[in-house]
Amino acid sequence: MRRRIPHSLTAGTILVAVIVLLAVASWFWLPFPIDDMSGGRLEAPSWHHLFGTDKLGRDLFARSMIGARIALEAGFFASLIGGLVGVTLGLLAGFAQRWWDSIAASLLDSLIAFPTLLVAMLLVAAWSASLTTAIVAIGFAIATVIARVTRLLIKRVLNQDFILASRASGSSWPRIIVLHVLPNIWPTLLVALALQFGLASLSEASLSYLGLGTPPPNASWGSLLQEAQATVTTAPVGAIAPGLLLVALVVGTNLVADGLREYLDPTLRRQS
Amino acid sequence: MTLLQVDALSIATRAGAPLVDGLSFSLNAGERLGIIGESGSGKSLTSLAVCGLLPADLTATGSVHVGDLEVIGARESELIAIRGSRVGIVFQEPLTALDPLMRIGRQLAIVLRRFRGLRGAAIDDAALAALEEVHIRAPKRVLRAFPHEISGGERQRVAIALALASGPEILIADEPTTALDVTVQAEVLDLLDALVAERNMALLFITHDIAVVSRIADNVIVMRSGVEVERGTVRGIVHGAADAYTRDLIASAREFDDALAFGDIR
Amino acid sequence: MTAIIEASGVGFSYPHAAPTLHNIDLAVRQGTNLGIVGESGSGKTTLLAVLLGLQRPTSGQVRFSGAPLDLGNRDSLVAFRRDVQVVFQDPYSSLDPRQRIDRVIAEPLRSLGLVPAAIRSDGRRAVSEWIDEQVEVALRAVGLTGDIARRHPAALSGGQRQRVAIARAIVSRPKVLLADEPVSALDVTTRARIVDLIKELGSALGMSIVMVSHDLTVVAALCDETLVLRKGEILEHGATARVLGAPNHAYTRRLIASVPRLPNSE
Repeated sequence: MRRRIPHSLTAGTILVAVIVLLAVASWFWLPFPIDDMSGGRLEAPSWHHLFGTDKLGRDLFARSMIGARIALEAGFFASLIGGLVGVTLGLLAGFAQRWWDSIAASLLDSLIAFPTLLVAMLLVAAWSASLTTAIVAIGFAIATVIARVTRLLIKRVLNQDFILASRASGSSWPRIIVLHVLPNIWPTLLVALALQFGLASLSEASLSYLGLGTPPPNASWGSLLQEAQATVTTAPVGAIAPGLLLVALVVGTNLVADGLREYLDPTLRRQS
Repeated sequence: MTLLQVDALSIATRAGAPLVDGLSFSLNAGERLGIIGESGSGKSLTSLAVCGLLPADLTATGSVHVGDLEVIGARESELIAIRGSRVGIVFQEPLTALDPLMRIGRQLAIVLRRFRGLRGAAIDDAALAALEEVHIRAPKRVLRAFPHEISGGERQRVAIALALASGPEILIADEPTTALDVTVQAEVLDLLDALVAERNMALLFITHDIAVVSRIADNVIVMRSGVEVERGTVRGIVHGAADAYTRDLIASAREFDDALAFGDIR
Repeated sequence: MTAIIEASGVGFSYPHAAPTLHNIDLAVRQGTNLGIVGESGSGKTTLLAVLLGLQRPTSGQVRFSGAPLDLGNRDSLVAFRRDVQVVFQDPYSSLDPRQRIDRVIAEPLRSLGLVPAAIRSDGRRAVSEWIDEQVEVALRAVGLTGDIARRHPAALSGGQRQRVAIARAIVSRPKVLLADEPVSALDVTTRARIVDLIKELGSALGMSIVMVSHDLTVVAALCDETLVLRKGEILEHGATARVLGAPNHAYTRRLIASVPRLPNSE
């Protein structure tokens, strides 16, 4: 029984698709190489340079396209790591009983308290600033949130009579997890991950802005914003372009998350 | 003056699907009317409509007069004026009818302050008296407790105390004992019976259980799919229902009632 | 005759808490339906869990077919679960909302290895077909039609869901069917029909029913033997006619007197 697709899902998908298009295109074609400083400095947008140039004469549109790729890579891989690690930890915590349970809960709560920024700084000090470091740090933050959500979802499911009924039907615990637990938690987890995706891109931009993420000459939107800071009044496009793109991605993923929640919500099916 | 007058009450969804169709009845002081129906009969919606508490996506047509106020279409300020002071309502699930984060004493105090204009120490005394009136053992403990810290029966008694604290003339009880154990149910029914009689209130009692309604109401309306199928005195319906659906209901109830007829324990 | 399930001196307490069950002795025999009557706090839910092997008693022993219940061993667990099945109280949480009805009923067939070896050796298609057949037979046995099989629980009423839960429970042809308040959440006419269904299935399939309920009328309608549980202890135990007709205990008398009755014709 397919239901109609919520508007938020459509709108969000379109927004995200635009960014994805930019990113994918950047593999095959760039209007200018990103370190090409041949354009005049801080030129206004023109047909030649769609977004104009930055203070070093580099084409902003090309750099924005690379920025899209970095934002999506960060979002995707951080969510992937966070999702896998988080769900695993959450499963363990969800099935924990008695005092293991209290330990797991306290542990997860204290891990969530670690600011992503702090973790990123520690990792940069240990290794060096790079997209990978940023992804690991953000992945860690996502894992703690997903673990907590997973644990709560599992506790809620395990409380239901149909789990008892499944045990009474002779099903083993691995069977119960596959047949009953996972199908009942994946919709909510998917929505949570969609939300985290946008937040991960935002975090990467923040880290790059502070110099803790992708180092120059790479063109993360965060770096673009940082570079455009000094000249924001004279050449605003340098800040507006990456800013708007970032907003579009985060709003897009939020809308997708919202639309998914609406679409997948089983309680809305109960129309009898 | 009739306390409650309902004429041709109809409730429909926005799409036009009728949930209640053409219900009429009236209540005077001291009268007790039961509405019997199974799930989907529209009985609970009727009680909500009387207080103007229908969910926003449902519309009511017809007429509901509480005293001289026409509830259907009334402004919220007019409805607030009658809720509590003229009409009190007790719901089925006491755990959700009470604020889980507020101590019982405070919930009572709010009602007492608003409706009886009491302040300070007078509230504490009145709260204690209210709980004693509903036969709560250890009322001081209950006043300090949160809803989840007291038993289901105690919660329902508190809900009754709250409903009565504002001194309404009409009491609506919507399946008030369905969620309770059988011994507690009997006590709460006795309590309701006594309190309603004492205050000469009009009682609208909604339930799916014929035996329960026969304990507490004199007259009864049987509803099915939003429509009245029969009405009469409780005894009249139980012993000689005209409508086939009503007879089916009575027969099912009888099946269980007869099962208990072992001897003279009655 | 050996009891199918037997509890001797069974007790249960949570760590650092007062005992939920104390010194329970009971036997479930073939051909006899047993009713366990208890209000909330009586320990009936825990007793059910212990009899189902979902909870290990902290003292005493549960025996199945004469031997102590050992669920650590996969074979004895499967043998036990084939013979002892359960129907839960809440029709809204006892079915996985994401599972289709046919898969709900098929689960015990797979998990308990009920597919005959001859069919299994014929391949997956044959197994699938055999299972579909069994599901249809089970659905018909509980009064539902085959087209329900493809639907999800959300599309069914409370009564239909309970029928599905019963179908799931009988698919392994168990010797004992444990029912935890199977009809409390249902309307009165549906209640009568489900109780009748359980009774019929009990005699048709040679199943002993163990019904846990706080509703005396339902127990009286279905069970030959009754046990009254209070605060974790057995207060009375004997033939239903004796326990409910001429009870020994004041509490039992109070329970019976609390049941709301239909007015008698005069």
